[in-house]
Amino acid sequence: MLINRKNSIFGKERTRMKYFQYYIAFALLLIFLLITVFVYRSITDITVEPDNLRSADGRIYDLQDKETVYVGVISRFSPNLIYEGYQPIMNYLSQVTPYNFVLKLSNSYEKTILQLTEGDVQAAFLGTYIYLKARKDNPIRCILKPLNNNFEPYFRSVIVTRSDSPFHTISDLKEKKLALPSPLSFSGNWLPRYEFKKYGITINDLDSVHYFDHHHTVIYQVLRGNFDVGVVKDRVAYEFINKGIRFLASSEPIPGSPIVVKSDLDPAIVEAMQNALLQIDVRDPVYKEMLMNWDPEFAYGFTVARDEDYDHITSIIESLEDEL
Amino acid sequence: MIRAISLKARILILMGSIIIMLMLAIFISVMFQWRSLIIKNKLESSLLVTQTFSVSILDALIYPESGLLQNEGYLENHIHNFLKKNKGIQFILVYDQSGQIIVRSSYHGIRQFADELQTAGYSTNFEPISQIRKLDAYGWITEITLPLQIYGKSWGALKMGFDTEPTLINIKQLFFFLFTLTIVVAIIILMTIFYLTNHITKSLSQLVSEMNRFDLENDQPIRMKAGNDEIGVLVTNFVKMKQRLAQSKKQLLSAQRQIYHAEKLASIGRLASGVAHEINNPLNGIKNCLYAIDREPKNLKQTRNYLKLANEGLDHIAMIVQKLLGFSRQPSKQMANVDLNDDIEKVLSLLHYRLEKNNIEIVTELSENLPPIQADSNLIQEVVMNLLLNSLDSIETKGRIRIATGLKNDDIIFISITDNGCGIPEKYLDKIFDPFFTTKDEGKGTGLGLSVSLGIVEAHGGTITVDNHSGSETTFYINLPIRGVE
Repeated sequence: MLINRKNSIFGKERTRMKYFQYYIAFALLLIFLLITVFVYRSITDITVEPDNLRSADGRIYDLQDKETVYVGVISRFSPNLIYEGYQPIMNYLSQVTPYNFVLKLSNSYEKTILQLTEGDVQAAFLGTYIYLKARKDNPIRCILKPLNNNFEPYFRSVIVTRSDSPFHTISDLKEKKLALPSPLSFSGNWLPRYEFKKYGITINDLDSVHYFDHHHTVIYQVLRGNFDVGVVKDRVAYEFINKGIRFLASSEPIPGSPIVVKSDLDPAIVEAMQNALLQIDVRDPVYKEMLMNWDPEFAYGFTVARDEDYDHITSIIESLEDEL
Repeated sequence: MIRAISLKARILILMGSIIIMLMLAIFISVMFQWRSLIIKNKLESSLLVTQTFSVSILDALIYPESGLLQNEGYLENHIHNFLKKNKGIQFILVYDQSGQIIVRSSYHGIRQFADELQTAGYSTNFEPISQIRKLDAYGWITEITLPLQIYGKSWGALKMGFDTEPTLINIKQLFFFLFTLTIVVAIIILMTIFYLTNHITKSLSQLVSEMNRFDLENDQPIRMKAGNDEIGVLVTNFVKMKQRLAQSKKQLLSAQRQIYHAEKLASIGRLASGVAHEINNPLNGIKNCLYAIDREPKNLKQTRNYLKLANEGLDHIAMIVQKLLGFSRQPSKQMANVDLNDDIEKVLSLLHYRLEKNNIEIVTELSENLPPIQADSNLIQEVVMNLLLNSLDSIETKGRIRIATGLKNDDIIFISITDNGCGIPEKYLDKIFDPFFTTKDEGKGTGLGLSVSLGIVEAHGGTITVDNHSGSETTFYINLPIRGVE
């Protein structure tokens, strides 16, 4: 009897154990399913909240309550390139001077001169050639000029051709196609009207000559093979070294493209601009980093420019004028 | 509670839980990692497309400033052409510097974007904003809002909305793929564990079965093959243990036989006076008969009569010697059908003299319908002898011994021996079956009688219990299975 009761208790225990196993298995399965459902809901909600809004570099470039100085730039490059290279200069000037500096673009060299003389802009980045031409008839003066990689205030015009072209000297350029930047730029005049003379070549000896709005366009045309050679300022030519372009010849050093103001511009603005740009020390890492964003022409800083600095090349310009 | 579950279930539950949780953890981490990569890739590709597209938008806004391009529908045309070729882009919006929309690809569902740039407090100088959200009009959309600016000079912002439903579908597909993979791998692992556990527990069950089958009386070879694994080692050791047990059993039996014999000899010694008297009486009768014959050799009638009496006396002596020989025979546990009542009568006849001498009344209540049982008659007689001798010793002179037999149930018969002797002190009740325990004087008992009797009864599958009736009577109960030990 006792044994039977024991058997009965043992039987119940076995049944309870069996159910307990099922409970555990069921609980585990339930947990697995719940986690899976939770994961599914989580992964299918792909909402991504926007980051906290913040200024690109922590600075506010919005116009502050300061006097605005408009600065023109001759159309030597395409507008976006001009903004890329010159807007950081405006930002810097606005930051370190009591003025807001705002770029004002134009579609031609002459229009920038007109903007300057008519007071639409108070200062302008001009080319050496257009400056020398314009200063004769307009009340403008240069205040600053950029330094090159030797920290000299000069630039050169460079004759460029494709790396695989067979031309090596200027003499080879007879009956060839020549691409030039604006006829109001030094590079647009130096080779055909000055340098060719040394080799007894005239424009008529060439197959064709074409002027383009921007220096970069000249390079692109040469690279495309539409033109055999081109002339650009060295700052542009250096961009394309090892990118299918080689130098054929270069001009003698020419005083750098000046920053020009109207003669009667408030001296305080001129002084502020000069102080701001002359204090740049390219060896200082802070300035060095800042200059990396500026147009390469201004990567080595500035020096004071005076009208007489450009006098010695007046003869060249005048010879070009004669040609005209 | 967990200990109550079978080993197989425990291993399965424990390993199963660990593996499933581990697989789940791997599945979740991989899933979220891939999801994160897919979303990141979507955001980056959308940002790249927006940045690329913004170049032309920025040009279109800058060029008119320098008079190089007249923006008369140029932006709208450009945007619509772009959308035509890129079906994955849902909308394109161009904001001016004040945050007002100046160009829009569609009026559908963009009301909420109208002043969003302003109400969100955006300045015109901000980093690209990437976000993914669900819109009623478009579903899931990746929105990239990019400032149209060059070094802080701003022309407004460009917002592009990219269809992100395919990305969500990719994520869902990935989820189901990984989920299925996880389940399949988990099932394979669990099945492997189940197989291995089953193999182990099956081997253990077989071993347990072999252990249950193990009988020292009937040494059968083990049916399991000893493999090279731990179970194999267990089986090998079980076989060795079995051999050692068999050896021990042999030695034990030998020792038991010696003890039985010693105890039997002791009993015979205690019977010696009774036997001598039993033999002496007929011998005297024979002697008297021979004397009478010798005195009257011619009296043939008397001679014949006395010879008959002498012959009867010799028969009586022969019977007593026969019984004594039968009792003193070495025990061999030869199982046969035994009539218990007959065995009891035989023992009583051996004790007849001592019972009479001590003036002890024997009351027998032997059941007439007692079936024969499977037992060794000699051993059973020895047990009865030991118990009766103990009763005799406890009574000394004048008393009563009651012997009863009967059926306890269909399977068990009982023998009870009750005496009204001095009884057993309460404090000795737990010890009386211990070997060499005796309360008798030195030389009167070996202390092995009850111990040997217990061994014999248990060897027959029976039990011995004692009932001490408050010191007035003592009863020993012997229960024996009719079919013998199985």
